[in-house]
Amino acid sequence: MVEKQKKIKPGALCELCHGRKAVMKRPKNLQKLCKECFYNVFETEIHNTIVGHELFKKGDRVAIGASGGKDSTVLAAVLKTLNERYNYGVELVLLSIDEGIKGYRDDSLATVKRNQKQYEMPLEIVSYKELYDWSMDEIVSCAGIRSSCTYCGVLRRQALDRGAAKLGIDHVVTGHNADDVAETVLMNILRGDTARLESSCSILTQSSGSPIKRSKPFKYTYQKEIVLYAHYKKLDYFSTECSYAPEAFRGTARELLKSLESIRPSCIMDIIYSGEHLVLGQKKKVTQQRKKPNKIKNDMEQEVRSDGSIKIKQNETKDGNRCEKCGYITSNRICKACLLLGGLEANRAKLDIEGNTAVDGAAKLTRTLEKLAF
Amino acid sequence: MLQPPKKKKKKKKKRGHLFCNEIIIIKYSKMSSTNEPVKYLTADDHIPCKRCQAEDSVLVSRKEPFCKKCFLRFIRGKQRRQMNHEKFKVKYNKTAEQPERILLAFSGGLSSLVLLDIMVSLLKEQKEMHRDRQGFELLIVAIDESNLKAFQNNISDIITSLAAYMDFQINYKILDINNFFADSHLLKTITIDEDYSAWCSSIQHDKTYTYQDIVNMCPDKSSTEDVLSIIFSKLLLTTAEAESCQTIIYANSMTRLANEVLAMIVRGRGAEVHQKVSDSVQKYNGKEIEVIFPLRDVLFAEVEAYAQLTGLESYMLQEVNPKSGKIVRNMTVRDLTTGYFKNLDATGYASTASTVVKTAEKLGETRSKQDRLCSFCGTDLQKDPEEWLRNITVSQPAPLVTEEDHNNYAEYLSSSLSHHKGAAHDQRLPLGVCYGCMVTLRGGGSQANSIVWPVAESNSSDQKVLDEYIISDE
Ligand code: SF4
Ligand SMILES: [Zn+2]
Ligand SMILES: [Zn+2]
Ligand SMILES: [Zn+2]
Ligand SMILES: [Zn+2]
Repeated sequence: MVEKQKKIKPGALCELCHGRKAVMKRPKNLQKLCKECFYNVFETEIHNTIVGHELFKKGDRVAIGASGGKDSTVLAAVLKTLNERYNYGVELVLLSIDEGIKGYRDDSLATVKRNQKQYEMPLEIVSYKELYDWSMDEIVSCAGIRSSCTYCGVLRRQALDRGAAKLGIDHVVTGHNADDVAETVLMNILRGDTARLESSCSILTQSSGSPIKRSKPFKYTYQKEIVLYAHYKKLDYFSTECSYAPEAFRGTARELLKSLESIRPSCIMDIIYSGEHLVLGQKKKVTQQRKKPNKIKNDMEQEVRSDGSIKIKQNETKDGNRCEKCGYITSNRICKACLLLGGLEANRAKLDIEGNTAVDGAAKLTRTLEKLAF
Repeated sequence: MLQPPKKKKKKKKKRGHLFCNEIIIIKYSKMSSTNEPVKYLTADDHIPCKRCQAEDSVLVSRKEPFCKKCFLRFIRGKQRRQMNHEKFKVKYNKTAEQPERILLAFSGGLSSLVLLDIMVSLLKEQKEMHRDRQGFELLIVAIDESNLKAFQNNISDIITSLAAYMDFQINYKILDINNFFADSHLLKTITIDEDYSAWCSSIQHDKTYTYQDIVNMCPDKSSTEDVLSIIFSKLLLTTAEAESCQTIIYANSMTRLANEVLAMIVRGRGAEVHQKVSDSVQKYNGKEIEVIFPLRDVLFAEVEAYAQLTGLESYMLQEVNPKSGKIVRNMTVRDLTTGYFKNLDATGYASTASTVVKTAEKLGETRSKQDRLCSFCGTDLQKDPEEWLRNITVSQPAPLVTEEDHNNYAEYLSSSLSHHKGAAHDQRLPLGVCYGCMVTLRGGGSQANSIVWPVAESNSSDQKVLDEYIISDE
């Protein structure tokens, strides 16, 4: 009797194992899968990405950029699983950035702290306030909401590097997923960002002279599958979005990508494939060759391409330059973070002198500042 | 050349994009007329034309007011600049044997009407100035789509009445799309398997295939769209060769080219962008055929303005039931990318299209290019697209554990569902198919799919041996 009830019609079976009931449609290709097969393909694809690009070596210490959101929570869970299953022999550490955004970051950091216990990984938190003496909330109230992500992005980059350095770690993995990468490919084309065109798809990047490399093990992992994985594995993550709106232009690319995905699920992979094959043509190289005599200087900027080859950018004298203010590696006299913060600092000083923090006054200042900064 | 957006204006351009968010899908709210890339003026405006200083302007384009005459000359000048080559000019001492022949790909859409008008105006000008001599011969080639869609008018009537309107003799040729499948002994079945491997097998040749049959084998509308554009460009190349045309001109505007770039990237055809969007020389049957986009510096809104001012728009080929384009689910990749550009505001419309096309022109050949061509579309093959896909689309099941799972599996094996597997695979040969074609042939899904297609016999017998015996090149 019991047997008979449990028998599943062949049409309702998982399309991979044909033995268990399908419980989901896989977002990547709409294949009907059982839970076990979904875990298997999801994890194996990430494993393939890690191994195929030789992201880890035995004995490496790797920091997971953990925000408490779904991407980084799933990343921590999967990396722990894979590290044990395939014996990567890496030591995983959680590295969190506290941007200082009320109602968003303080709650999500609580999630990271729970993850820390659950996954038994050490946790390091670096805060903007401590590092720069500015929290994001303060920056936004001073510089306006529109440029929040510009500030935040520059500061986070540096904060992650500093956090990793503090931990003595030279490799930070981030939860950037396939959707993010595809979006970036579209954005680069739409804004003609030729400087980033070739590098935006590389899975492993290391900028000039910097001891910290970054990689994206989720480069080929769909956001929707990350959500499903977290759901079935009942992972504890924080799903509120940051209260400061994402950049408007990225928003248009994201909307386009969403509609495209709804008519052709593979398009995220397809766009990444395209992105990996966008190469600047010869004309550019000809002009570069003219500069050859003084170009031989060197070196160091390496980039591992998605096909595994390594590209060495020939950098001019700028290599290994340090910011005069904070010592962070930069190609200019002063690093981007110090430049942005310098602008804010001037503004804050003025505010203090005037002793006038009335809303319209601040808004006016914001406008002038925006004109100055960009 | 379109003026590169000036540095000062950068800020404004960014702000423009803020609006795109809401408009990409469904809410296709049209912009107010003040925000159009081309702004039409009324008789009351009395703004003098900046070029001739004589006439009143009829429109403002790229921030400049134009009278009708000066605007048409401005747009014609764009074509003149793109086709400035000596070979298109009148030659007095020319040997009569090989006149320069240009094939104009004519769809009946606004851009092709405008390009035809511009080319005819050039020929008239040449004849006037050089005692009835022409620098080139023009052949209009259209592909008849009337058995794919219902139209209110037809191409040959359009061309006949255009010839009367322009007072110029137009040579034209209308191709039947089914010609593409006419050579029945070339037809093969191309299969992309579940594991992304591509195979070629012979078919029964007693059946003739039509375009409609092929459409029925396409997994979705975006695939059909891609297949159609492959057929079009191949048919046009074949015709150019057969008609000894050394040049093909396409009427794509800058906006359309930008849209094409985006669509190619979405289809996984990023590696082809540099060839397909730049003016290029294509080899066909050992002959070199130049492909030019004379309207590459003209915005689609300007094409529309040209067609409106000249009255050409009334000659346009009209579908009976044009796509309403509201429901995303029914759209194709190109519908969506077109919608993206259409719904940018005036500043974004001009600058984004020009940015995309300029970026595309800077692209070049990949490092992973192989010395072989895709058997479906003819583009350069890249290294191992199927391996790339397999790594990130794993299809190994998790092991079965319980007895119940095993019973289910046994049941499945004995059921009809598993039967088609492993049938008649011995007769087929591996085939080189590019990533974009794999996507097109399979659609986005996980299932294998087959399509009938003319596959040219490889003329090198060595290649045949390689194709037959090499399973993987690694
Ligand atoms: S959305 Fe912008 S402001 Fe908010 S955390 Fe992300 S980068 Fe920072
Ligand atoms: Zn299964
Ligand atoms: Zn600094
Ligand atoms: Zn004028
Ligand atoms: Zn192809």
